[in-house]
Amino acid sequence: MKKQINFGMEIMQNPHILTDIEGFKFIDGSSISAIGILMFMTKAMATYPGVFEYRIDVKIKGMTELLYLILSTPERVKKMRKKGFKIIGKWAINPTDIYFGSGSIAMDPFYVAFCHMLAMDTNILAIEGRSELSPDACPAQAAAYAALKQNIVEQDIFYPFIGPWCYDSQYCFEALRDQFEGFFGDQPAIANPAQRDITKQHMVEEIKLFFERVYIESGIAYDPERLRNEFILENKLRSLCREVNEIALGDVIPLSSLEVILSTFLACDWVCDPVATLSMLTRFVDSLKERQKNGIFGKGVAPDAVRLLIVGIAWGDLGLYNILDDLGGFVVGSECVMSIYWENIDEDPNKDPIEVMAERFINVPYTLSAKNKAMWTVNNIKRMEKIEGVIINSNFGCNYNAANTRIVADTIKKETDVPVLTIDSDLPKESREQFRTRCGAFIEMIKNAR
Amino acid sequence: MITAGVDIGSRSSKAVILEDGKVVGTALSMESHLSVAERGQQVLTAALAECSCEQDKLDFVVATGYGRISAPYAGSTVTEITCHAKGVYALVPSVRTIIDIGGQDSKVIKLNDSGDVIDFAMNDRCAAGTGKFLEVTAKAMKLGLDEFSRLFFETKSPKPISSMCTVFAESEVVSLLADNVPPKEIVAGLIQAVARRVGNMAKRLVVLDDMVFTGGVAKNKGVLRALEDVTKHKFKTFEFDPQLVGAYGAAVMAMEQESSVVVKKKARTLRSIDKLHEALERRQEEIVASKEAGKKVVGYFCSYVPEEIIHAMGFIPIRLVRGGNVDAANAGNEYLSSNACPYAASCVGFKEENQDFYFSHADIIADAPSCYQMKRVLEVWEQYFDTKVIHIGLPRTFYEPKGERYFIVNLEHFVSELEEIAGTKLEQKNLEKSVRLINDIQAEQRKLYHLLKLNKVRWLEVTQFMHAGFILDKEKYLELTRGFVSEVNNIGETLPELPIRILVTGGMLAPGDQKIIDIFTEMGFDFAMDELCAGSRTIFREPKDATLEGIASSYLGNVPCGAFPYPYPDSDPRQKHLEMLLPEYRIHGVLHYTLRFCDAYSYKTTQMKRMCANMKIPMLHLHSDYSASDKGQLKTRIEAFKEAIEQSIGNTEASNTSISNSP
Repeated sequence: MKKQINFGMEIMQNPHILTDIEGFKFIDGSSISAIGILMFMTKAMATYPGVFEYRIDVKIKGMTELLYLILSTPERVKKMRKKGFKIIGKWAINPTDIYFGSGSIAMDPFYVAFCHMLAMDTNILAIEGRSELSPDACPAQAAAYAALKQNIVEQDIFYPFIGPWCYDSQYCFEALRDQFEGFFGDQPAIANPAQRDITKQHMVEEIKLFFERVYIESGIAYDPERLRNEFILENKLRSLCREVNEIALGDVIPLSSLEVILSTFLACDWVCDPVATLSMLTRFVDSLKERQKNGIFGKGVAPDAVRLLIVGIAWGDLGLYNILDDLGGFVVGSECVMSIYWENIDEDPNKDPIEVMAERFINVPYTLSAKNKAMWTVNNIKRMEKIEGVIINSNFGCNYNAANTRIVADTIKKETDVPVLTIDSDLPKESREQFRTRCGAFIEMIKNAR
Repeated sequence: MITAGVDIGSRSSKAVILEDGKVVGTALSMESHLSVAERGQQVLTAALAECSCEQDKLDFVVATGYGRISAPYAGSTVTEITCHAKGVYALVPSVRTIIDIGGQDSKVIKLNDSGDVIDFAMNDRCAAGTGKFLEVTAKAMKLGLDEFSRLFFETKSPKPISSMCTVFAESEVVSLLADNVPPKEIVAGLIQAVARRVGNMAKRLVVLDDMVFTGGVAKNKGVLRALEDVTKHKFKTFEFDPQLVGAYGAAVMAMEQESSVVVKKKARTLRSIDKLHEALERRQEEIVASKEAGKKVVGYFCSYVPEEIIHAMGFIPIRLVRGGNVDAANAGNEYLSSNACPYAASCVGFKEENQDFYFSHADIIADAPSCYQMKRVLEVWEQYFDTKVIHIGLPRTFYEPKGERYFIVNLEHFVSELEEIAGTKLEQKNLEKSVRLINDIQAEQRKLYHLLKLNKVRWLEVTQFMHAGFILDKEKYLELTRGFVSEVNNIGETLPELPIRILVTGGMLAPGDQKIIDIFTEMGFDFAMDELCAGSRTIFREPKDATLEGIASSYLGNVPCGAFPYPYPDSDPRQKHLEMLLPEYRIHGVLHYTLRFCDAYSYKTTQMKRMCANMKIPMLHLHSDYSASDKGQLKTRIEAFKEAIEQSIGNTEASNTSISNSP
């Protein structure tokens, strides 16, 4: 791997770049100043060395705040618990609106624990988790299991809606049922159009039960206005994430692959704070637009970079995005999170928000049948005309999403002219050499065909 | 009395000679060009030479280690787990925990006050955390193992090694060397990686203060120190070569040798079983003839598909359950992924490879998959095999009223799909007839398992009938099952009580998946009971009314499939069911069998272990697939499990032999 100026070195060489930071408000009404963020990040260089190894451009406004939000999540969650907020464990595909709209805090332990593990620059959580769950557990499952068990990541209860995407997460929560109280909501799969109404009605009942149980747990009764207001807030966030993807498709690419991923991955659960995320993401997108207007390219991104769409699950090893840029590629977006923010939720005040929520649940593209999900991917490729290649990635141990790779790849090949590379990945840093060879050859192939 | 212990390991062979309990000869050999049998003989000869003893003077020899079955001179074979326990206990009686790292295995063994093995953990089949891991990485660094140990102590800044896979760790080491990372930092990182891996295993067993370290890797002071750091416990020291402890334990066992009692499976000829086989042989022709006459076969995978409805509509219901075939699993992986459980992959592979009559002759697939990997299987059938697939929505929250309502509506949809294909409506009188038939079949199947409890039949006989029920014509099957129950009752013979009664539970153990069953049978076991999807689980459904409500209630009210997660620890219906079966079937040990990449069941291992510990019943977890590559390791684990059970039931056998005659 060629030597690069990483984030940590850049800060040490140019400490003034950290001064262009803005503080923001949190969901619990408290706030942090720019100085507070600066102090946290300075300390973080020692406590979270992993993040500082990556090539990240802190000259993009909002970038340091974004890293702050990611790194501080476990700590912020603990503080919110102490203040009496109920932290509810869920998994990535569950729309966050329902949790924040119930007056609780949504927390995806798979995402939070994995980020924490990356920041600590060790795979120990995943290794420990596997030793108890299964040697075949996906790394995110294993890390979340160990982090929850050791209270590195905290939750009051788990309440995921278990459905057709991350098949394993339900068993991870179940394995922790002696430690945490919890419930499962059903997010049924629609097998064919004739079952649509049946499924939606079932989902409506599941959502009503969710609000009843949250009321028992937190004392906060269901309020349709609160839920609708949450739709409005999170729609702003979803729009901003989509804007990042659009910017990444412009002639000037003002951010790197890793920055695309870091910003849009906030969609997992808005790092447990949609209010703070909105401040940061607004600033970030404005800065990108400014850079694009001024012709500034993202760090490490070649002007003739091959634009790639990641299908399946995005790589947990964040270093791979830097490597991909070095190889002459560029990640425009990752479908797994696009599947969360692909369109806004209906804000119509005349509609029952529970019905709207149910509609949202059963329409998340990654929970559709393999055939329909594959066609969603095809439509994305056709819509994003600059996409030159698709990389389908699956995590080792993924029992469900990985199993539609063949159908998705065959459908893309049949419906578009875009080349497809299928790879899989496991623990961070474990298979970078193989990645370099395969993605390097793929990018060369696309460039040669131009 | 002169005895010998021979430990034929994967990387080295060891022998110890005892004369009246005193060590008089030892030998260690790293020869690898010899055959397994030659290696054992060579090291035994060397140890005998050391004490000037002839081989024919030996009173008894016990062989252990991977090559133990290749020691014709041994009076018996014992697993290295038991031998290490014996050896260590004889050397340091206060020891309660042993960490043993050999060439191919790492193990943590827990002992009780008497030196008996009460629990153990082993690495999975990969070489992470073993001597082989260190050997391969040392070779990549062009270092000897002695230098490895020395370098560990020369740095306080170990370079974290992220790959636990030996192959990837080797390439990671090469990359680190290329980045000019000092070798001592890499070595320290590698040793820490091994220590973390094994230390975590030890933590799972709750490490006690009195702990020793054995095996070839125990000579590596760096690993020893790193393990002490990870476990936060000091090892006890002893004056004996840690690599020879297994052979020493084998020699000690040779002194106290008692042959273990196993009851070989009694072969008997029953006319009703012959009739069952004849019916199975005729079945394919019957199906071909029925299809020619215009009947259609509805295949289904999951036990939540109400076969009553298929039968009442005039279709032929066939449950497609088959496993154990590597080629089929590999063929299926091409459509799913290499992360698919081998059973799910086989459900695609048997069709793709045209390897199974029933998979090939299903006209329609109808399924209500509790396991979402099976949902992908349905999608593949639909997309690539051009098969009509009817999806029946199954609620994950099966335990709530709204779940049942959802299932009822889905059954209505299922009926309408079948009606459209058949061109006729479902008639109530047909449904009543089919429901009665299936209720009667399940009543007979319950009788089979009751006979099993009474020792009137053996598990392998019962499972033959259970599996035949997936395929045979329902009326014919009911008649055959009744015939079997009647014949067994008429004979009135009670078979001998099994000396070790094991209940097998866990994920899918499909017909054809013989590996585990064969190993247990070869070792003289016969299962006493099962709690399996292709076994007893389906027989506990309540008899149902001939309505969709009645059918939904019966199927969802049954012992649930483990693919349904259950959030409440105190009322888990499957666990409650197991807690009832264990005393009812006088179970001595539980085999929790899981297939690779079946997270639904493998994630439940800790829960299972806790339940068995509370009931004071040893549990063995085997995690495997359809390949034969792990047979040796599985045998070792099963033998050690057997030895642990024998120890645990030794004094309580008399109180465990009462048999309930209540129906």
